[in-house]
Amino acid sequence: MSVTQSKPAASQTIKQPIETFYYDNEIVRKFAIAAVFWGVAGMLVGLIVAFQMVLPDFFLWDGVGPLSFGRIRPLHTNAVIFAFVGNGIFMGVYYSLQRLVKSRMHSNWMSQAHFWGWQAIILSALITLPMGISSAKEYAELEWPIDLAIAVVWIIFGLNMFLTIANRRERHMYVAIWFYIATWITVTVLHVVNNLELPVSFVKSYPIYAGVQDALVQWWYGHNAVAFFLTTPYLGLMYYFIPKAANRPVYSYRLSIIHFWALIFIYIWAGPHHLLYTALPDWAQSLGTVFSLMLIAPSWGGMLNGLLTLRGAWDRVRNDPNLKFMVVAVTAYGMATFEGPMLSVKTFNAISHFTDWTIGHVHVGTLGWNGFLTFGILYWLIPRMYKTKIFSKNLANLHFWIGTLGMILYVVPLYWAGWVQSLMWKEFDADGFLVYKNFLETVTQILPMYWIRAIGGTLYILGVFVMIYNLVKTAYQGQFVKDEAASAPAMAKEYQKPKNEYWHRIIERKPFQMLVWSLVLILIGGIVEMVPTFMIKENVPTIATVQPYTPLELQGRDLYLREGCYTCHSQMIRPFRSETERYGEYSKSGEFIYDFPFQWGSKRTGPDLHRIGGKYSDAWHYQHMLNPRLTSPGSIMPAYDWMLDDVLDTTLTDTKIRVMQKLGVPYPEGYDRQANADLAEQAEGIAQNLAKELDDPTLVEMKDKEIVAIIAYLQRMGTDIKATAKEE
Amino acid sequence: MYKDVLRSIDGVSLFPVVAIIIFTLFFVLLLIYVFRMSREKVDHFAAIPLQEDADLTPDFSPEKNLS
Repeated sequence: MSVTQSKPAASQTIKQPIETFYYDNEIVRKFAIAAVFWGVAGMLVGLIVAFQMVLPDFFLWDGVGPLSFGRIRPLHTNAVIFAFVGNGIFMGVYYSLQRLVKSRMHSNWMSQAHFWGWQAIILSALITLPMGISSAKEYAELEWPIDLAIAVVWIIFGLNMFLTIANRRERHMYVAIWFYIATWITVTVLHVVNNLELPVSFVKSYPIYAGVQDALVQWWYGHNAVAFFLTTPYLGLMYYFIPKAANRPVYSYRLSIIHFWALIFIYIWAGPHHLLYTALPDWAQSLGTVFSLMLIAPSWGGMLNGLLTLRGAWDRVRNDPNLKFMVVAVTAYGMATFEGPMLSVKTFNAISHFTDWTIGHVHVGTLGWNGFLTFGILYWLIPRMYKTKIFSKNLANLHFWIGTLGMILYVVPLYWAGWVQSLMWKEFDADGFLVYKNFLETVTQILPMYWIRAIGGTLYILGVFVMIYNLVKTAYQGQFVKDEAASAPAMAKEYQKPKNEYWHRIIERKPFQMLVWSLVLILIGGIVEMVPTFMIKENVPTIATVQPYTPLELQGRDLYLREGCYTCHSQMIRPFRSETERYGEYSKSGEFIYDFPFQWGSKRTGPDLHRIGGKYSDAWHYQHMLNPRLTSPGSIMPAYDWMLDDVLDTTLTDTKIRVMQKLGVPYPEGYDRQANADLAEQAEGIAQNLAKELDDPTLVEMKDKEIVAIIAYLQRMGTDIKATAKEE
Repeated sequence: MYKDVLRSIDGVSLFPVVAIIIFTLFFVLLLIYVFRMSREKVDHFAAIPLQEDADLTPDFSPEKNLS
């Protein structure tokens, strides 16, 4: 056996004895199976919600809540991000890390605990999200006990990774490992900061932030979840698997070092670009835009580094399906990271925000970058771990083409839909009136695009089934190598520092220092954004008439969170004439100070709701919830008829009031004891209204049903500011 | 509102400036380091992912299997 005799840097370690050890392939296979399994599950849920947007009753039964759009859309996003991509990350990390450091994972026990813990968390999401147990913050919907479990499992993963790196046999940490380390530490910080919440019960909590502050923290998190969960770990995988698949080293290792540091520093600042034209302070919006534009440089540097790795090997791209997948993945990364900064420019954002353009944009990233890179890695990895060839190259090519076609059919119609709808929202006639006054007109116009999207999604998922068949057949024809033998010289205990060693080499040698420096760099951006944010709480201009919610409205608001109304409705009227004309006075930051959590939303499948209060009668809302088609023919909103049957749970009203008081909401001392009496009185009033307006005395019985609470909240929303006007 | 927020924090306007200075310094040092790395070292680092197949996993060469 010949060992690294020709490698120059190994000369220092050549005297060390050769050790034989075994890579753990079993854990890699487990995560691979989980990634594919949950990938299919997450995509199927995505397909259901896509069809629900054209067929509002699709997959729904009368009076059944758990499968309605607002509850399973978070299930789709969480499943695809944390289950599909999450397991994909762990699959790739466990495979590549062991080989890059020439050592088995430190602890089998930790690997298994990580695996089963993560699957248990996914399972709990699968159960709780359809039940409406949700903290209603995008991509952080899971409630606090699950948040704690995520923290524990994540720490086990981190420990296992760091101890493996500490036991390595290769002194230099390859650049992929830096991306893994930065991912780990940043996700830890993001998860903790965004999920600080006060429990009300085992399945309900309120975040410690409200309104503007909550919005900034949430989108600092949301943006960086994309950055450090969907991007940096996959860049690490790109830096390992593309050289492996192409059988040539990365185009420029120097560029990869610059790519790494520039990317992790700049990414963390760009979060506020999700909040342009909102009630967020201007300086924070500008910060988000500037850093988003700067982000093009490292993103494209990384993309080019990946693509140029294939220099002189492009002929192989024609033959190797796995390289095809990887090339399209990196290209999709390039497209998405060009588009992202463009959409952060206020001029473009004014058009794209709240429309399907955003949905198209993120699916270039997930279907293209994450999906295709995962598939490319699977086609490369499975045959190797089973010591065989891929079962069918033709089927892999078929997957590639229907996947690509599916992706195009998914994304292009949504771009089209986004621009068409946005232009319709903003179109004025010669007399200065909105041409499409009824929001619904702008929705029915783009339904054909939603149909094509659903077909594109179907094709994409069919491709995944082709892959599963192909990989299962591959596995059956091969023999799985559970523990793969390898050998390498041990790393010398005493390291002879080269005389003129640079500071950066020291960081590269020491995983802990890498962690600390990554942390410092991401914290700089985080702190600059956060410190003013935390001060904002005291500095949001207060509006005297903005009062805390009544107990019934608070309960109604919690139903709004439970049903995931924010997945289709914003509560943020931007200061455009087209919006003030349509919805009313634009939203002020001082109006949200009692909103735990904020519900500004990110997509308008339905109209903005911030000034919905008082716009319609109680009876209108009652009928609209019973069946949206009664009041708005052609509406694609699902019915919320169970709210008419289910009794409002008031057992926690007093606890909720006390938690709100702890969060600084000025309810009078001891109000918790009186809250339910006030709640009953207000509910009685609304029920009487319903009976009168609909001329049906039996509706008085609605007084203890959920429907009166949601009506109370909707009728309150955005009205406090109007009280100011009256007083004046 | 912009001014209200800024006024209330001592020296908040320095935050981004200090941050960008720290990063620029770091970035310049990084560039100097990166371009002074020896060709030999860079090649070795870049080849780390490819080592195992070539000579450390003698009983299993994937290249032969995926022709």
